[in-house]
Amino acid sequence: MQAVLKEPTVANVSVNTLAQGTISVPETDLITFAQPLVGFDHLKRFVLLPSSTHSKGPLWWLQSVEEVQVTFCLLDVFATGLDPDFELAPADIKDLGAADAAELAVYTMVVLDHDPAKIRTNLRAPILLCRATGKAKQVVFTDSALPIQCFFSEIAARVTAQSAHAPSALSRMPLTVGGVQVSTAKPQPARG
Amino acid sequence: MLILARRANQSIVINGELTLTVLEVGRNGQVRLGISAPRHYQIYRQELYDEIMRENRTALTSDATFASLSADAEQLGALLAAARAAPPLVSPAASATSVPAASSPH
Repeated sequence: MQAVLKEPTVANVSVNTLAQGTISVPETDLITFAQPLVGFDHLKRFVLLPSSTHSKGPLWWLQSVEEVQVTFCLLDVFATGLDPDFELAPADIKDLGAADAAELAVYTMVVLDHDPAKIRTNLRAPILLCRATGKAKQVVFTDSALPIQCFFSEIAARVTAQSAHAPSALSRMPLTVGGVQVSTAKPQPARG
Repeated sequence: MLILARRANQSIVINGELTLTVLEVGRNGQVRLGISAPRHYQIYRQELYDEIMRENRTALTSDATFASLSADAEQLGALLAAARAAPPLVSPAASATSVPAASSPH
């Protein structure tokens, strides 16, 4: 009798989400926090959903599996042209089951607000995710050069300062959210 | 809460792997502590931890505000993606070739 190779079966899990209602997610897509989000110790499992139906990133929803009303907006920070210096400890990488830092995706928490001037992201406490293992953690850096509140208007200025030769496209783009301009984004000279 | 009295240069040991040493007791009321711990221990000032917690809680999108904020997020995401996709104003290579050489016959 011929052996039949079966596809490995991945169980699907039903997840209630704010963004997409009740969806079915392969169990392997679930994210487990090896170390909880600061202040949310009771929540371990999340799914990552694109913030828009049109594009994959750079904004994502981090939806709690356990509590539907807990959803965070995450920014794929290295997709913005911002290049923050995140010094990862070997323990951070090991905790997530990753072989090296290249296996990690890095997201920062975004505070959305109806007032565009208040929209910001936290560069001090990014979320590391190992796609292969589905493990994540929020690390807190002590480096005070990383702002806890990096306003989106500042992102443009920072990107410009980092790329002295090539002013970022972001820096000349007036960011408008809800019809209100976020940033006039004057290129700022590098300090020093 | 366990309360222990310690003087400068005296320590306490926690679980055999954490050592907390009082380095200095200043006249101004400030105490300097030395902490020896394996690298995987994350040690922060309470204020930093509280600040991160506050910012995390602010970032929480409740179901009451989700619908309107997600519309903003969609716009913002599209802008960020477009900004990333657009070519830079002046690329280093372009600026190098666009400057005519001083010895150019033109």
